[in-house]
Amino acid sequence: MSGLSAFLTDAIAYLAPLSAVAMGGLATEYVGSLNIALEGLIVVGAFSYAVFGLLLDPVAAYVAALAVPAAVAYASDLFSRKTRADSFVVGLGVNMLAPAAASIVSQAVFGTKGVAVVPGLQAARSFGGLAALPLAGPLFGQRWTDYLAVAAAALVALALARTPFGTRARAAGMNADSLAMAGLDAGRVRGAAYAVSGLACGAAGAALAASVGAWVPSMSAGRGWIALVAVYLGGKRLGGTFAACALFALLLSLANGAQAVSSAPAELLMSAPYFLTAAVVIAGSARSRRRR
Amino acid sequence: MIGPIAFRTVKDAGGAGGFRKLAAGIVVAAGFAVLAATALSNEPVAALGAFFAAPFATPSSFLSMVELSAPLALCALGVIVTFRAGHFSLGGEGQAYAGSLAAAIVGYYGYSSLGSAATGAAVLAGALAGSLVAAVPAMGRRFAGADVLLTSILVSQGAVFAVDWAIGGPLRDVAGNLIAMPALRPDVLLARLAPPSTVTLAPIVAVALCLAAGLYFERTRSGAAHDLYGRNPLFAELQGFDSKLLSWAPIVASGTLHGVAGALMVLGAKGTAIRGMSGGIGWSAIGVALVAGSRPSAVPLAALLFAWLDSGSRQAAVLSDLPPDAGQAIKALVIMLVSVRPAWALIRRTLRSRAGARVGTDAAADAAADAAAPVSRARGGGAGAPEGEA
Amino acid sequence: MRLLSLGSVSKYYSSTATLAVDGASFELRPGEVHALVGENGAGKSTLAKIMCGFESPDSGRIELRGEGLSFGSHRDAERAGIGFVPQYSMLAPGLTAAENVALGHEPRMLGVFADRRRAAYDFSILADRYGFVVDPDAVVSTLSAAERREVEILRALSRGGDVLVLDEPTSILGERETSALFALIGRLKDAGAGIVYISHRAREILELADRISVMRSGRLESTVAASDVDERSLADMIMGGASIPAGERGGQEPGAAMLELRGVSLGGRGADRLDGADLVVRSGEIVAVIALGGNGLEALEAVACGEAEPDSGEALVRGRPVRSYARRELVSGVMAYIPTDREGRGLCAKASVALNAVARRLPSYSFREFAAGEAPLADAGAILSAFNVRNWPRRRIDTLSGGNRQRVVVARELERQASLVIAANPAQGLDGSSRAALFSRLSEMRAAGSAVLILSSDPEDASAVADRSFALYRGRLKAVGPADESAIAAALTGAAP
Repeated sequence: MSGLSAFLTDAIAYLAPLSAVAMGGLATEYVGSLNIALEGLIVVGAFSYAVFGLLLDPVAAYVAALAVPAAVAYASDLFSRKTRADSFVVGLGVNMLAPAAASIVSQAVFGTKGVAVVPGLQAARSFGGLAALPLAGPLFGQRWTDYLAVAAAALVALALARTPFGTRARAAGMNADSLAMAGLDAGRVRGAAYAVSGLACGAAGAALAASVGAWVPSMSAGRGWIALVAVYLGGKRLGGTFAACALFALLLSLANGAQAVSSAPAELLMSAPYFLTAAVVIAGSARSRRRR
Repeated sequence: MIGPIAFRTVKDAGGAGGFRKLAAGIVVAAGFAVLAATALSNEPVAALGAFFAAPFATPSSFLSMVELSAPLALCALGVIVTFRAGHFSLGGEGQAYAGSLAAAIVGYYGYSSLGSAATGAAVLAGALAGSLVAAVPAMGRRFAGADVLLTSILVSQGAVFAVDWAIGGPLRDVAGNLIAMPALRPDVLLARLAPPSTVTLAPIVAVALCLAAGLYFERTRSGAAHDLYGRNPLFAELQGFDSKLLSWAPIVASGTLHGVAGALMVLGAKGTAIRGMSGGIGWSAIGVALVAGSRPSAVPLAALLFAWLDSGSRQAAVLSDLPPDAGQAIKALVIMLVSVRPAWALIRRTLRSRAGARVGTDAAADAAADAAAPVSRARGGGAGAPEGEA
Repeated sequence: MRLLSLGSVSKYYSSTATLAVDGASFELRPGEVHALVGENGAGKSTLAKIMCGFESPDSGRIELRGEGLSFGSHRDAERAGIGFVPQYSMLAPGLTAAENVALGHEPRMLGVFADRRRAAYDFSILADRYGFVVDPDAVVSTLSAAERREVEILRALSRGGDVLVLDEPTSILGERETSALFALIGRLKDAGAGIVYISHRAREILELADRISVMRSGRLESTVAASDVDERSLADMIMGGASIPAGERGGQEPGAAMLELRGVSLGGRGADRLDGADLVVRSGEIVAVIALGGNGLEALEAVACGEAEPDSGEALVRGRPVRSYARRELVSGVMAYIPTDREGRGLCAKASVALNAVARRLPSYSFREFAAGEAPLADAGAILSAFNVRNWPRRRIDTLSGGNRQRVVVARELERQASLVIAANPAQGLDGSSRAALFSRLSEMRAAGSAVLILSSDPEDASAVADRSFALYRGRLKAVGPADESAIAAALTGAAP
């Protein structure tokens, strides 16, 4: 494998879960609600995959990895709607609760608070044989869970762009009264968007856990936040969000790859994409402000 | 976003909102602590005893907990300053961490030239570093109108990596096992007021700043303008307040407070900059601000509540088999539950919604507030004619 | 024979402690247009919401064709055949016209995907049938106010009901759209549908209605046949007896120019643009500019208050260019400004009534005075009493009704003797007596030498007090006689004079 193809394989492996999370973030953004809990939901997905992988089998683990975060996201939204708690604050709570709860349960199930390797949980590179192909190789060299994460992202994107649910979600975000006039419950639409959001984060979490075949605390490593930024950077549109994700995937794997080949310190390299993106966000707002 | 804040200047609402939330927070926390101990521990009595009693068992353990609450209180105060100006800065973590690094550098390397004056210089350096990290989102807001939520997270995350590098790389004390800078000289550190506890001057400084901030928000014109800007910047501008200043200064002020908090951690209990020392303080601080109902005067007690959850769960983990993360989980649950509207409002609303069908969802409650007004204003629209009311 | 009937219906809002509808009984026959009139806050809109299932009454019964009904939501009312055209836009601005109409009833492909082409096709069939011309694929936010109203009407008709409730449907329609709507109502009526028509416009009501019901403070006072009333008596019914004083036209000559627009153009704000406007407002006169939506009133307001700098031309206050919200003028009390966008610019929703009332005076208090809080509270009381706002200084302002919120804004802005007053839709939400108080305060200020510019979408605001009036149509100003409503109406809609 050449350096370039290794780099691309790396970038695509980074992009797969990130795009799923970003599409999840976009789903709630459509209904006009910022899902700040993406990061926590990834943790829930990854942890569910590991726990159910130990107790049951990988397929059941994958289903659980989708279902549990979806349920958590739906419940948190239901909670904030029914009690009129601020969804932003409830999301912050989910972000704090998820790693803490995972650590407590991990102690009980795996007997450790730290890294827990689950045998047989690392997903195979299904088309590994094709990975040596020139150019297209990196597309085939991924694990099946990464393909599923991409599929989840595509499904969410399709649902948002092409189904009545997507139209209703957008209507809810623009003017909830338009749904009332159509006899629809805006709250239910919002709940569904949160569930979808959780599901997408779950797919990403499972992909992360499956890539190492273990539960690693803090394995989400800020992907939820990056996805959130990608949603905004992409102008809250499908295409823009995906493009922003691709940009992040390239930047972060570039920073990662540079550690291997240069003597530049890893952490300093890792900080660059964040500063760069902040500069891009600021420059972008300056431009749109001038246009106004 | 964080609870409605009463304007005590014109004496409405009686001014107990913040403390009501705080009381609810304490009750909820205690309740969950009992629950956690019974569910997660095989020796619940020991766990509970450790959780509730150990932090208060000796004056020393209590004072150490008070010391632990001081940086948290300062960060929470910073959160309140930005949130009440309508800026949702989530960058506290990086600001505090940068403050710690700067304070440790000045405290360690400045000792040779400054002597014990290095302490003050270290606090200043921390304040400056925190302000600088906050200045990026602040200036982005002021000159480009950039979303503070995004830029603050990004810059903070970048700063965390950069500080990690500095502590683990060029500045690391290679002799030690910890990934940390070399320890500061004891006479640079803040004096311990009551050994063997770790308590220093920091809690007193924090309380004084909280009281001053309370005075600012509730008794001064600038504070009222700050609040009005936070709720409706356009209105504030039309009323002639300095909205340009308010669009960035609260963000930088918050960075300063976070930076000072970071410096106090170094000069207090920690003794130097340690990798990962900020430990989620930026997020906890948002929780503290929330539990305090965005009211500065309630911050010291709310911070003490969170410090208790930290030291209580740590003690319980040492003295029994309670998982140490129980404290963190309880914090999260407290944050979620105090954000609930007061129960009586809930009950009334349930009765009302049972009594009638509603238009919209969130809009409905607002619509009901005004029988003659529109069901709710179109958020995106408004380009059309100013339509008169019925 | 009755189509829809409401029997002693009541609705109480606990949050504002108001009995919005108080034992109202109302009936609608097939093939009739039944007008519902009354002043602001009389309960018309609430009664309409009850008919349409948005609100359930606390007591009373609803019958449709003799069958008792209870609506859990608007969907139930819709199924029963009741369509609603709301006063305020309830469209999703980013969706297309066809998507808005299809919302909740989307045609599907393969049972999963939204069939947009089918929705657009259905929409154009519907629009054709009722004689509207709206592009099905146009995004709603790009449509004019009149087109948006048409989409709302089509949405109400799309479910094929035989009861249609229209809440002030013509408030933003031009002449062409209004006559199209009237023709449509005529056809629906002939087909046996019943129409509830809420309006303030006497002439329209007399043209359309078969019967007229008058509401006053939540009660339905009387129902009369339209043939039994003339325009004048109907106007009294609508206004609740309050008449607007003509205002004492100050005999004095206008003085120096306070606000001056020289060839001001401003574009790029959607449909709303200003095209070479010349306007002078002098001390001691009231100038009114009247326009329907989308004709440049928003742009004019933005230029006059200094929010936007003109693309070309000059906007001067006392000979100096006005910019950045005329901050200096507003603070020093030279200028007063009542914005159209009351919630966004006129008020701070989560603050107390008192703070909203004294906000402009904030810098004038000493530290001590403000910290003690007595002086601001006393001032708030004094400011508010001028407009008869009851003494609720400690309440949060968003618990007040729209009319009362407007009174707070008006009271604050007109408290000082400003040299220049810019009042944009100052009477929005005000009832008859508050309107009268507003206009008498404005003429009082004129007598004391203020220059007053009224920007409004209601021609009656011009006839109330203005010395000179202009109609704004497609961004161009045209002088019209102050009291000549028909000339204004013609100029506003671009009709030949």
